[in-house]
Amino acid sequence: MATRYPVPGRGPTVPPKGEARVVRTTDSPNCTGACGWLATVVDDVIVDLKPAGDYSCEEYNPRGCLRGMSMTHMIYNPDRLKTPLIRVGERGEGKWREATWDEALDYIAQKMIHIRDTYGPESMLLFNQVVGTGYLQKGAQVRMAALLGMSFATAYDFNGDISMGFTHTIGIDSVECESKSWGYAKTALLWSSNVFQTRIPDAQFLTRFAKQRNNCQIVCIDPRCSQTAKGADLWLPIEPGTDGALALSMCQVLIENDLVDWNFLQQFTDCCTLIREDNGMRLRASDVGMGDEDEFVVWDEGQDALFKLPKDTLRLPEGVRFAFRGRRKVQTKDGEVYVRPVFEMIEDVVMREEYHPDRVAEVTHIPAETIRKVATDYATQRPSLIIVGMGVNHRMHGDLTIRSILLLSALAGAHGNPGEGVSIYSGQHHFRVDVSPFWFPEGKRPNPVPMHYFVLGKPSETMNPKIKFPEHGFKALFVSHGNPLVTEFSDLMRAAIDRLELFVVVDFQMTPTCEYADVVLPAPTFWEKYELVGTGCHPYLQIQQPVISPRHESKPEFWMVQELIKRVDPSLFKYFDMTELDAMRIILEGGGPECEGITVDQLLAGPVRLKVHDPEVGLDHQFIDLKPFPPRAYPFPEGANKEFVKTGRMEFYKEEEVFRKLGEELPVFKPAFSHLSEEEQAYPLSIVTPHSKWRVHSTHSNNPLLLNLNRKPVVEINPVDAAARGIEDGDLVEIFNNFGSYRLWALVTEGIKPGVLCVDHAWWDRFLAGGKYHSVHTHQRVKPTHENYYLPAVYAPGQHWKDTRVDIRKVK
Amino acid sequence: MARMAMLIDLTRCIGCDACTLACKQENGTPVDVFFARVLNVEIGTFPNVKRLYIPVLCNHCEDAPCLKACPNKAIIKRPDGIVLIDQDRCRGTGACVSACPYGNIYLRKQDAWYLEPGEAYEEQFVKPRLKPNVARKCTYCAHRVDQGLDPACVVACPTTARIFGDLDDPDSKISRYIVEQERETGRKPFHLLPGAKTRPAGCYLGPMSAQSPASTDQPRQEPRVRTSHRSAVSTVLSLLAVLTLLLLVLASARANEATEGLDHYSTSSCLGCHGVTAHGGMGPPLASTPIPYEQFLSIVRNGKGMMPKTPASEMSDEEVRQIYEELKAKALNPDEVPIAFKVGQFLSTRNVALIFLFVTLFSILFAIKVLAYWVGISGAKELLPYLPKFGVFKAAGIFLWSLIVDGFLVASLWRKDRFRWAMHGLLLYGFTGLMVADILIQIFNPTRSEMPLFSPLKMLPILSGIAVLAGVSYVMYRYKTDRYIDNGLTLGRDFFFVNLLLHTIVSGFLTVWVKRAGLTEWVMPVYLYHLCAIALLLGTAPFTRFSHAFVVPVMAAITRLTEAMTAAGIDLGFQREPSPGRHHKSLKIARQVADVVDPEHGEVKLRYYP
Repeated sequence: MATRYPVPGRGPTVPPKGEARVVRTTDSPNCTGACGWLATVVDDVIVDLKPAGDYSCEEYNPRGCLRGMSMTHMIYNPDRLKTPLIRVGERGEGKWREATWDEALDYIAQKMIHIRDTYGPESMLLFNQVVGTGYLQKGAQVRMAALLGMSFATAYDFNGDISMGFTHTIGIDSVECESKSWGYAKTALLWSSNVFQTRIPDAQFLTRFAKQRNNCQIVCIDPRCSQTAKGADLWLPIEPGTDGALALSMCQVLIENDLVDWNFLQQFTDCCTLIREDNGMRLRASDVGMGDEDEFVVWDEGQDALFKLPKDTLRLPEGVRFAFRGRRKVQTKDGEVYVRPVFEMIEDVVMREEYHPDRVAEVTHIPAETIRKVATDYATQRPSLIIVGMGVNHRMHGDLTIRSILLLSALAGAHGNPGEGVSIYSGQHHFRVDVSPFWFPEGKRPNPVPMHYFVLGKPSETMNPKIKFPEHGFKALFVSHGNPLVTEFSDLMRAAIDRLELFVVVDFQMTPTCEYADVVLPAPTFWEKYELVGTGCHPYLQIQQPVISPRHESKPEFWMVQELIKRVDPSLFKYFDMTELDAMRIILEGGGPECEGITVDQLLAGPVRLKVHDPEVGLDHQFIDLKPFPPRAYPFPEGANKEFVKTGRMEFYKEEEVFRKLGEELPVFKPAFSHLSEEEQAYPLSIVTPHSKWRVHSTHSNNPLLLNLNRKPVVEINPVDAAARGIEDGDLVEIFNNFGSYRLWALVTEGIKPGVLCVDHAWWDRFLAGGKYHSVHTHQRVKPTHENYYLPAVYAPGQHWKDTRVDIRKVK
Repeated sequence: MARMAMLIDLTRCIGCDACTLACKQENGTPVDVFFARVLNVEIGTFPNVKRLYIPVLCNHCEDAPCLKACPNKAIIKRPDGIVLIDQDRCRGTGACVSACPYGNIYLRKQDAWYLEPGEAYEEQFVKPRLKPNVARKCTYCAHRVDQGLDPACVVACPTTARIFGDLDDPDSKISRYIVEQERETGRKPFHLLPGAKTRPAGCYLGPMSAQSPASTDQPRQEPRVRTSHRSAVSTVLSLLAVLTLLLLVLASARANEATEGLDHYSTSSCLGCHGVTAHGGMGPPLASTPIPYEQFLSIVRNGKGMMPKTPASEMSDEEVRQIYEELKAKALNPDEVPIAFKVGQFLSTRNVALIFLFVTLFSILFAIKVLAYWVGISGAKELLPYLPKFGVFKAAGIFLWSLIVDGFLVASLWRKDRFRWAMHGLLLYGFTGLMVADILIQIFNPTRSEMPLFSPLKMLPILSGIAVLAGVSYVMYRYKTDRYIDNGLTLGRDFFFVNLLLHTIVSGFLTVWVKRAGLTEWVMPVYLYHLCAIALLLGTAPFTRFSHAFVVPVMAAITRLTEAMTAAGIDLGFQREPSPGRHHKSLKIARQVADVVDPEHGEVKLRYYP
């Protein structure tokens, strides 16, 4: 590193003083980029950060972005917590007592013992964000929860990142190809996805590879001319919430022009399975005496007979030709029943007049010609890729939209090859390796409860019976690696916290969530501790190591957990009698085939590519190895999610009654705001809340380096909407609806569709001109189709941030 | 020889600002200072909106205006083409800030920092990296380049949109990339603001979907001609001077060789100028003079031009008459008339005045042209729309005040180095004195007849001349001793100017001394040489270092005005800009790149924030 030399003049250069040490590490924020860094350290101070650029696939080098590059200003930020703090005033009053670690831990342990003994351990809830970004420190917390029998709320579903459309279709909540695969695409639909901003280290696979090498056509579907729209050949400013209509219209174009990949549908989807007209259920092998309850039959046109789909493979015998259309009479054990192939039912829906491009153009405000062109290009200019963003998913009917998009991809057969697939990089839920040996010692697991029910304060009427809501309600909450009072429904959550006896927050800085805590425990940043890091974006496993010693009094979470366990139940300490590196060894040794043979020593030397296909195309086991759906959802055992897609194929028809009740057994379009109350619907504007370029959710809100560039929170507003309200560029404005309001500044721009406002999400409230950022968000409603099964973070209710309607006015 | 350059591929660039932050990390720049920036451009109206990200940084121009504008030679061009601002030498004049057409130079009186005072990271490792209150800019991370590393922004660019290397080396990354991209994607690199004629090292490749190849402008790669001929200039000038003087003296001396039959005349002092045979020397030939006696007498008594008065006490009317008659009778042989007179006869007071009028007009015209170029690249025109909001009179006041303080009082030197300030003062005020004297003489003594030494009209130019001589001697001394005076671009012109100035002043004094010493045959050659030197000095003024005398104050004044307008926040763009004070220049760049990308683009706006 040369950085310590000053700007040269003409005099001789004086070499810098002090011994410099260069450390290879990785960061692990919730962008899930997991970029490798080289940090230069002098006198235990980080003086320089540079991308490590040492990935064995040359294409990945370098990785890094503006946020990682400005981490120094978070590490040395004045908001850093210095000592443990115990609240002395009211919650949120800001009165603290600086405590020693012993005091703070004794205080917490004593409360925990009291709560455990009085209400049961499950009334203590652990909520640590994006566990997938750190298998070790976050894992240690989960291990403690498992050992003590505490409840554990997965963040992924509560964040709204769970994509139930994926779970419904393929049995797992999301699919990601490694970003290297993008580089092979010739058509890329970025569906409400802003990868140039949210996936900065990976964006080059679109620009440098797909665009420059293949002259890939990049289409950006987004109501705002986002950073990604800059690199797009085509920007489709879609009416918010109408993406499902667009997808179904494109499906219609494909079917109409016979651009359908029949072989793909036959092999990988449920399109040929038969639906009974009498009860709406799928025709099973057991119905016709050909096999078991979990086996399904199709009509083989070649043999003119029923054919039982193989259960344990997606490989089909040569020469089979299944029926896609035709109502047939079948003799079942319940008598003669009419059945129809799923495809014919799909066709009935998709070919409806309402999905004709001319009609959809009226709804989406995208010209019919453009719809036809994009659909045709998607099906013919191959490989073609879809990346779905959270704007589509954070809606009540986001599941339907994603099912429609997956249908489009299936009709085109755009899966299984580099540059294909439908990927949704929605947070790092997917574990790269099986962490259960460390997280769940001797098979002990914590009691999983969706965070929704904590916030709601009680179970919903339709809550899945598998979920064990604590008998006495929740009494303690431990938040770690998260800032829910900024990023979630803060008012409701505050009310829920008010009912607690203990609220502990672990963080490295004084966040708005810490401000509301009973006890605040100072943690190190990811530059001051060990962590084992994987990500969905690239298949490298990396070690994060302490580049400098933990600042002030901060201590790694692993240590905190060790100390707490000692105090709460010393008999369990044997499970923590190890170093952090020992814990990593446990994870690596039991991590499954992907990390076989990978050792801590290898990782200390640099990133190691997991044993996966190169490139990973997404759903590799299914499309390449031909294993039936669903893919395994780590850290759950094989088969835990089997019942979500019983056919073992991509399911576009959902037979469960709860779907049929809602009319959602097939992908259909439902207007985005139809479920809102009349009062809510009366507000004239949509609001989208994308990720900010300047933050990772709320992290970096207070990074002075980034605030130098992104000085004020602004709302993007089209000149048409602005003029109608007398708003000029730079004016102080207020966004409001029936739930609340907040104030910020107007950025009048042509880059946003009229009728839509855009505010980057997760500003800390102290930077606003007034009010609370999340106060306007529409209140949570749970869709029953998200509750009929439960698997934490795989099948669970999501969030609907983007369904909010608001208005805006100038502050006089 | 090398030519380090950076190419930015706008197809690859995603506008992520990783470069911006990598630069801050590497160079430890304070708040609001961004050596590397990314312009966030919005073009057109909904739904026909295009967005464009233009990363900008110092272009390390081949013909760097900042370097030429710097009065202190603080800006240098290294042999590898990297332009640096020497932090030790910069006096914070601010002329370079306006001179940079791209707005990439930062000068702030007071630095603000990001972290709490006392934070070791910032105190020990960040703040010491740059000196306060001097101009700063991107160095292409010269300290890294010197160690064989790429600049920080290049290393950190997650899309490898920045390609750095030596343009002169066909095997360098950048050269190969240019060739490869022209072959594979048909894109040719273009420069920012070609109108500024700066020949930047930084170049760009446009977005692949939209760039029209017709509007490209290939970076010049022709080898550079080094312009610093430090000693050559002075040697050539001195040789020329000696040669000219010798020729003139020889020419006039020829007339002195022939001597015959002029009694009274040959004992008079007239022959000093009019030649021994009265066929002329520096003065006109008098043999067979056509002028009547009365006029002859009047000229003798009153003097004319260079010719001194001769009172009756020195030469009686009778003697004059005798000389007149001798001369009248003497036959004029045209072949004997010396060349010096053939030249000199045209140097009537009127003619000299006309020639100087012409030279002055020429130099003023070109000075205006030069100034217009500088004001043009300073972006002052782009500031105009904001003037009414700011207050035209207030602006004029700031501008004039700065002209006086920064220009006439050389304030930046005063702050840093009193001795140099004094020496520059001598030059500046001496020169001003000479100009004033010339004008006064035109008014009060248009025939330029002889006047006593202590006449103010005589004392003013003499004192001013001495002042300039002292100043110029110091400057020449400094040129000899200052090993950092060579900035790699302007030295030849500087040296020409300084030498010419020295010759002008010395020959001016010499004319007087030679005349006083009675070396009459030397007077005219020396004077002629003096006139030529003045004419050359004035004529070349706009093109030599002389120009900095009028360019620097104007540029500094524009910088001060821009600072004031920025601080007042009179435009939203200014107010919200992360790097205040360059919005108007950024807009110019954005418009030009928009032209390259799509010649039929709509309105171009710069966006700050998200």
